[in-house]
Amino acid sequence: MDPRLSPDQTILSPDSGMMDTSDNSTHSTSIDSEMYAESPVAGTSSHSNVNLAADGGNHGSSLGDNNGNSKRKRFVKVVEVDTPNNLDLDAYIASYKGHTKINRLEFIADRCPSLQIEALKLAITELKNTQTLNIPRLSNLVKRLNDTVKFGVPGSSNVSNDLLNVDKAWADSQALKAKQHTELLEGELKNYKRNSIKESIRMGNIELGNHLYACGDLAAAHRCYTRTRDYCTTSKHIIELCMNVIKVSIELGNFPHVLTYVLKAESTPEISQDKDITKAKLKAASGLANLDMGKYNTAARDFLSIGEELVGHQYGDVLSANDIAVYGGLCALASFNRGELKRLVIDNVGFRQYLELEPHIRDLIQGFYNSTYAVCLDIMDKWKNDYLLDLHLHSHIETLYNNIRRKALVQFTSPFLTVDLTKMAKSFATSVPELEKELVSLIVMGQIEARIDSQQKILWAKQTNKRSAIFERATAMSRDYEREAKGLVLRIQMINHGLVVKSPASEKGSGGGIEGPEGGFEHQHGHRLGRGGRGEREMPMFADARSNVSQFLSNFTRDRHRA
Amino acid sequence: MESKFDWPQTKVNTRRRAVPRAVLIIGGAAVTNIELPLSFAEALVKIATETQQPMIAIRPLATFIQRLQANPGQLTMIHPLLAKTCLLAQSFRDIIPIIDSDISDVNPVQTHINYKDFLLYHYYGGMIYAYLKNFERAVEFFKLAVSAPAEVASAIQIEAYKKYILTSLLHYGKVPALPKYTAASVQKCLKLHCVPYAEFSAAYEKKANSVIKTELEKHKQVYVRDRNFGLVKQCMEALHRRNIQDLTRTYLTLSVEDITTQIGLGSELDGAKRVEGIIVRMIESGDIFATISHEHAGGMVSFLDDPNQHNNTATMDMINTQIQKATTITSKLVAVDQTLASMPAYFNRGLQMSDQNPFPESDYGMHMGYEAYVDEESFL
Repeated sequence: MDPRLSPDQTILSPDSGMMDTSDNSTHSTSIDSEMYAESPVAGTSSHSNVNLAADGGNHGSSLGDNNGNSKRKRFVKVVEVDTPNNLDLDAYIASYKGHTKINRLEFIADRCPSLQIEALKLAITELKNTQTLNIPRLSNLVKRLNDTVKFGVPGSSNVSNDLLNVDKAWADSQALKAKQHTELLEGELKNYKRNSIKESIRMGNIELGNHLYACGDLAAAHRCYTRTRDYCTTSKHIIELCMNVIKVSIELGNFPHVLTYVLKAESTPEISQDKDITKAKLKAASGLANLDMGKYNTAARDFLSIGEELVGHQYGDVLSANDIAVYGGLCALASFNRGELKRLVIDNVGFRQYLELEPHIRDLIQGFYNSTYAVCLDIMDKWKNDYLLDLHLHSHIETLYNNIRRKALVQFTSPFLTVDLTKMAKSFATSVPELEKELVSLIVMGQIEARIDSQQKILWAKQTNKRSAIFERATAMSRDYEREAKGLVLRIQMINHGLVVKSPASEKGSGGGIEGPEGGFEHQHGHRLGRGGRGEREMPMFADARSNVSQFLSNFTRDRHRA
Repeated sequence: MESKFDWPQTKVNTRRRAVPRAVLIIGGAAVTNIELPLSFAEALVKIATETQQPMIAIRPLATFIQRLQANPGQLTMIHPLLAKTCLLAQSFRDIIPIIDSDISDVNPVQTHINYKDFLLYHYYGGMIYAYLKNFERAVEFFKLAVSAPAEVASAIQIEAYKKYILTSLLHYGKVPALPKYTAASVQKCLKLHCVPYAEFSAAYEKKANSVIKTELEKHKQVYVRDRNFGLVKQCMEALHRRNIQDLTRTYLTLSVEDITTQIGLGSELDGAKRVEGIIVRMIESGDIFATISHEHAGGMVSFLDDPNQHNNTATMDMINTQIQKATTITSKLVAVDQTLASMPAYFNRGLQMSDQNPFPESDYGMHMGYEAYVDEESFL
């Protein structure tokens, strides 16, 4: 049997290269559920495992399904979500376009069994409708849909046969088209290079990059885009380069790279017409990058400074306007203090537009600002499942929620002298022992200045006697000062008199200094210079001792105050 | 060293009677020859240890020190001898006034000391303080030994550092950084030789009972071999006290039972009783301010604030003396610094540095050395 026709090849390497392994592009991609009777598929989580393994295998030249590739680090802790509370999949996904749409759908399919079929259906339809060139990805999705249907997940009955099969002829022609187009573009690029026409080389690279991106070979596309850097002549070109690289890097999950290019783009003097929208996109990209790296404060500031340019999902190939509201809102709540919240979020006219799209986030922020924490926690709880299904937010939800909760606790206690723990537990929807544990950790971290009366379950604000505290600090400081100054005096004397720990060998050579005849510095010093070796070694010590003294005299107070 | 005093080869009893007489001699005569008291003192110590009665040497040695010192803070050769003898005798009454006054003057020209005297005195002194459970002073003494100027590390410094770690843990609960000027060679050596201690302190600072216990078991042999196991055991005890002290910052009242679980003694059989004992002792020693009431089952501990409001004359006096001390020591420091600055060697160096091309070929090595030194310092 011709190995090219073996269906197993499709299973084992669903995303094996179409570009570099031309064999695959001609083999059959028609899917028949019978064929996969033996394929080891157990459920949703094993889907991701299949992806992961295949991805790791041919990472270098992998085409197709790059979703698993970019988010691999997060596959470690897959959280399955039963049913999202508020998610309307059709409406949600409509605001995205391009790759992120498929990525998000696939992500949801990975995480949420109840929406799996729906998401896969949408993803396949989308790929088909857009005449995708990324055939391996399509076949992979179709395969998964088949598996799911076979397991008889509810809702599988109304999957049309159309989606379960890939038209072989069409797929082959698409693959062929992709391959031919790549060759064509590569040939053209070679030609340009031979003639060394800068602008043409740049355009050729971008076209090839765009094509490879459409085919799903992100790494190669990234290479093409970055290659244009040498041929950029105007700042418009640079912006184009940056936007392209940012787009690919976000999809690859290479967020440090995103930040570099955002900086690069922002420092370019802009002349393009849609200046504002570019700026907004850059802000959004840098916000995403910071969110991914866990810098919530910076991320919040980025999202909040986007302005109103992206309200109509103009950046739909990366994130929707709703996302801006959610990401920005949650990051702000988790990292801003009250003043910042008011100034940067609630009074932010541009951001308000986004908040209108996600009214519950607006309510959440308002509720937090007005200290109605029960409402806040209720909203947060209701929407948690939805956010766990978000491509970018899911791994940060726990941290963000914890931060918000902690800040709520701190804010709750701050105005009171005493707080009844039972009442507090009620408003935070938790039990007293749990609350006590949380409070203890906050007190230990120094975020709450209070003490717990665990007998009567009351939290007492700590009344530090500032006068006493200052006295205590002054005494400790004076003791330190005395001690350190004494140490320095002693040290200088010791160096001065040659009381330095030496190896036995060198001690023999210069030991005479110690037993030398009586005399002042001059005498000893002459002695030392005459001997040469020893003086040279000690001079650095003198200089060092002096710099220690001057540092000590000038910095002591300052250092201690800082401490 | 050869003794200059040839003790007649008589019975031990005679020698013992001879000692007080010798002290009288030394006490009466003005000390003129500097070699004399050292040989005498060494002979004295030798007799005292040979007769298994180190105690008898203490008084005379203390007297020697007073006679020999040009001023009260001067280090003499007798200091380490006395400290060692006191440790052997486990009697510290006579040495306390001596070690309580800090060494402020080292003058080998007058007293013929060398660096070993300095290191040993501070090492033994630290041990004495550790024995007396004055860990703050002990830390200071060990620190002085470790941070003494050095070209190579001395074994005394390494031992002192081990004890420095343990006493710091006992007193501060963590190991404060060594002074910046501690010689780089010494620091390297310490890193190499004190791994078990460094690991212990790292575990200790995290305050996790189980981790510390595994560290302790892992390196127990090393501690026993270094004769530091006693201190290590004390560290374990102190951990409970430290944890209780931490609780005073978070709680106003807490039942003994809760305290027991919180500090990780919950699994032990009579943990609660032990904890109560610890708390009572802590209250007695003034480490915490608290009351225990047995109205409720098991006992309830109420933590109070430090009653010292710092509004009395004692505080005022203390502040005044501290200010005075600081002023004195600062002026002394400035004076010493100026002496140093006006020394030809330093002065020449300064001139060289200010020159554009300060170092002729022959001086290049030294230049490199200095740069390397500075670099390492800023690195620390």
